[in-house]
Amino acid sequence: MPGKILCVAEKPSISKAVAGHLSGGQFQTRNVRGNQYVKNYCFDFDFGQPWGNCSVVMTCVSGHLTEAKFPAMYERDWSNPPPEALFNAPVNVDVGEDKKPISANITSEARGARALFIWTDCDREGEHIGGEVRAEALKGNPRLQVKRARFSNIERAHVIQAAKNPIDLDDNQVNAVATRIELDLRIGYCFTRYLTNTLRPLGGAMAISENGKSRVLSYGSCQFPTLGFVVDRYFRVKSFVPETFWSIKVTHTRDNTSVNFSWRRVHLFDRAVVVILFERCIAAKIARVTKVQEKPTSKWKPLPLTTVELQKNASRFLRMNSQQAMTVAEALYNKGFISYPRTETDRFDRGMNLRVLVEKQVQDQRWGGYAQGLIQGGFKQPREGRNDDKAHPPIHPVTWVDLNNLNAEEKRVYEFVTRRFLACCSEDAKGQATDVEIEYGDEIFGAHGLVVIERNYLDVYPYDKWTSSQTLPRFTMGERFEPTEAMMTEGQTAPPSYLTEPDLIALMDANGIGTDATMAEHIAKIKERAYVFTRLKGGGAAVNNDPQPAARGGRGGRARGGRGGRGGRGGAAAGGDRPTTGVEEFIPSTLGVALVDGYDKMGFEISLSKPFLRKEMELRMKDICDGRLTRADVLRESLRQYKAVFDQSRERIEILKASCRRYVLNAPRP
Amino acid sequence: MTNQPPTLASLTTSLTTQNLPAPHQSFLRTILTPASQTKLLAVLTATAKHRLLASDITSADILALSTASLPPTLNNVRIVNTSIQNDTFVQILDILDLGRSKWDQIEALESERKGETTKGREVIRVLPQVENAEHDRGSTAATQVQAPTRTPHPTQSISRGPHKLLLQDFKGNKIWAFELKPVPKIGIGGGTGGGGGISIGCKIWLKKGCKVARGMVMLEPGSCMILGGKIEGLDKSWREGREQRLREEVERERADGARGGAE
Repeated sequence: MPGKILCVAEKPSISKAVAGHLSGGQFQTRNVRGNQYVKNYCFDFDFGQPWGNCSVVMTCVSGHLTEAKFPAMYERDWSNPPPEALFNAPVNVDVGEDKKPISANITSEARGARALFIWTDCDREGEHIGGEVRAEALKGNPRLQVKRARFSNIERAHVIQAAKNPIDLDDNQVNAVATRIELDLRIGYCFTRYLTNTLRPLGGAMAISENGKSRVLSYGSCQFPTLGFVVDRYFRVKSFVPETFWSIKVTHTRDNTSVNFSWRRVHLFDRAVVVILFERCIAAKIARVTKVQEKPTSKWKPLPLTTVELQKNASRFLRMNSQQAMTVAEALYNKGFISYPRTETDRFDRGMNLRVLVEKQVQDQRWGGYAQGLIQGGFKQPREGRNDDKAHPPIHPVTWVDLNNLNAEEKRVYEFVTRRFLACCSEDAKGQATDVEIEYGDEIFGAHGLVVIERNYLDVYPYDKWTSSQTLPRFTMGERFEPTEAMMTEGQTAPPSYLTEPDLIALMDANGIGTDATMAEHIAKIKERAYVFTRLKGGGAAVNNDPQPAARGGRGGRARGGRGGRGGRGGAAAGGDRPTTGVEEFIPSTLGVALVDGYDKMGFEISLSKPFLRKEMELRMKDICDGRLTRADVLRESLRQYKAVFDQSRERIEILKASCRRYVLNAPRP
Repeated sequence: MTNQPPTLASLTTSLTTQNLPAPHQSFLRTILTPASQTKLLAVLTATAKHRLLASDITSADILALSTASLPPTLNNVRIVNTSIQNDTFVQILDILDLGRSKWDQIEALESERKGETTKGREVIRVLPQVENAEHDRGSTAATQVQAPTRTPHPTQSISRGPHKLLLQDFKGNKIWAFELKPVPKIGIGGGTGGGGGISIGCKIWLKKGCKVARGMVMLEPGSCMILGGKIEGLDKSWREGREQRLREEVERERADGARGGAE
């Protein structure tokens, strides 16, 4: 009994691409009243058993449909009702005013449909959006069957496969996101209002922000720990004291090659001791070879690409920050060139036909020859990392694209993704390592030689470096010789550098702050709030020239606009106007320093700038996804914790005020 | 023989066969009292050993006056090469890690003080030990990978060195020693000293033949024997003052550097 199936994607580009594949390019386009971007595509498609040949209406939403909000009585005045009332005030979840035409379209198209197929992105946020779509569709047709398509890229065969094998919506994930949205809303509003109410009266820059408006001191449970990392590092750099160390260097010339032997102890922080050890070397006069080892060595090819790795590498090699990189990757995904760019997975499913993907790259002018080589026998199964989010494969090129059809940023990201993929399917680089160790006096010194024999993956992956060192002359085990020269050297410890974006992402990743999908947003947020600014590493003009985008969505709540879709325009363009030419480093503003310093001084139990509380919250989200905790459990527990912190920080608020007076009101900018 | 009541002589023999120096008679008399003579020799030996290792050997009447001491010439930095002539019993007064910058050590002590430690890039919160079991996460506590609460005891890794140690014999003579080859047990443990490493007051035998270069004893596994022990008060104040001492040291070096003073 075929009939009508309503399909709903997360954004216009996906719905159009999917409609194109399922219909074979033959579809009718109908406009949707009230929204110029969302279209309904109508066509027939044979879904196979049990659905059969059905008529299809394919449409989409534009990110989240609903917004969580407090009732109006809480919106008027930031001190009445008092901020802490927001811990248990009612929260209404309603379709946003601007999304009403979209939800109405879904409700009306659901009437008369037999089933709803949800085509939102396969991640937690996408699952939640799927839940919102389901709610609107059921309003029009309560007997609707609801399924979701599982897909990770919009390549034709993959899409058709997904259409024919729909699965159920995962309500645990829907609940986890709903929980997070509510927690972020309550905690964010509550602390933001309290901080703003309390600190504005200090006057000066605490009352008026850089753009001349009243200062809002926004708090977010991810923002603050992210800021905390930046400030921690800043203080480490500032308080650093260099120290002198001493070392011993031995050189020996043989066969016209001068070999440097480095001290096994590297260096020591005590001059007298090094003098004594050095003297004993000299007195011994003769060195003895205690180890000669030649062994094959290899440089491992990279792991399959995850979002975090893409972001880190983008800063290092592609001259763009994490947020720009994600925007570009999102665009490449929407055009069907690469797989879904938000993934934690660093292992390819064994069943995936990677050779076919390699083959598609053969026609490329730059790496086509290399891909050809892989097809003709060079192919090796990629390494398998330890992470699998069970939703998406590692980021990989889905199809070949002529680079001339891409803009400059897209070219760099596509090239990186493709070269990374080909590298993954290659052989490790091979070399021969030689290690010679000598005993001289009481000390041991070593020389290391490397000859790269086969470059393999390095030929297609210029982002890794591995080069041959000098060839070591021959030494034999047990041999004695008098070294040509021995010297005592002196050096100084150097301060750590300010946090760079790859460092910051790695710290957030290791400490559970945000998810691969949201880290870039948190980083952008603390810049936008003027808690930190960035500059090119190695000193240079500040490049943080992002115009302050108009606040989007609720404070503290997470706006999804930045993720592709039309809503993303403003946000996406803001970062992209001036590509940076190197790695940026993060420096806190006086305000950023004051906030972190103040909270730190209140005592660690309540330090909101530390990652602990947020990490626990993220773990609880996972508990919901895995069915171990319910939404109610998590809300109760997390709110209890943050409420306790709120109460304690209010008792010690003078400490925070003192930090603000010290750093913001009296001190010059750091 | 086993039935004979312990005597000062048998107790001394018993201790020396356990690699301890012969104690002073008055020290032994505090252990071998008429009341304790009924106890087994092994019990008395254990008591004596424990007290000896916990004592400050420079106090009067702890070690026999015949005990070997460090000759004053040993400290002479002009003597390039010499060695210890007799097995010498010493205690540790100070230990420094020369493999790590002082600033690095200060930072580690600071974060330990704040209740944090790091594992790679992960910041780990060291919770007070008591309430750990039921901390917060309720029913899921057992099922989670609990990064924040994973380390209830800060079993800080022991410092890798090499170390420089200030040693003192029973007469109060002091000499610096350098850990030329890694000696097991020598190291600085974290926190209050519960996490491994040696304590201040730890007793060491410097064996006959142990190298001394320019007034610095060269410690190697074969040239010394670590007996353990600690002088409670000294150890406590040493730990409490460690961060401050390192800071002062760093400041002093900075001042020296600013004056451009070499050595």
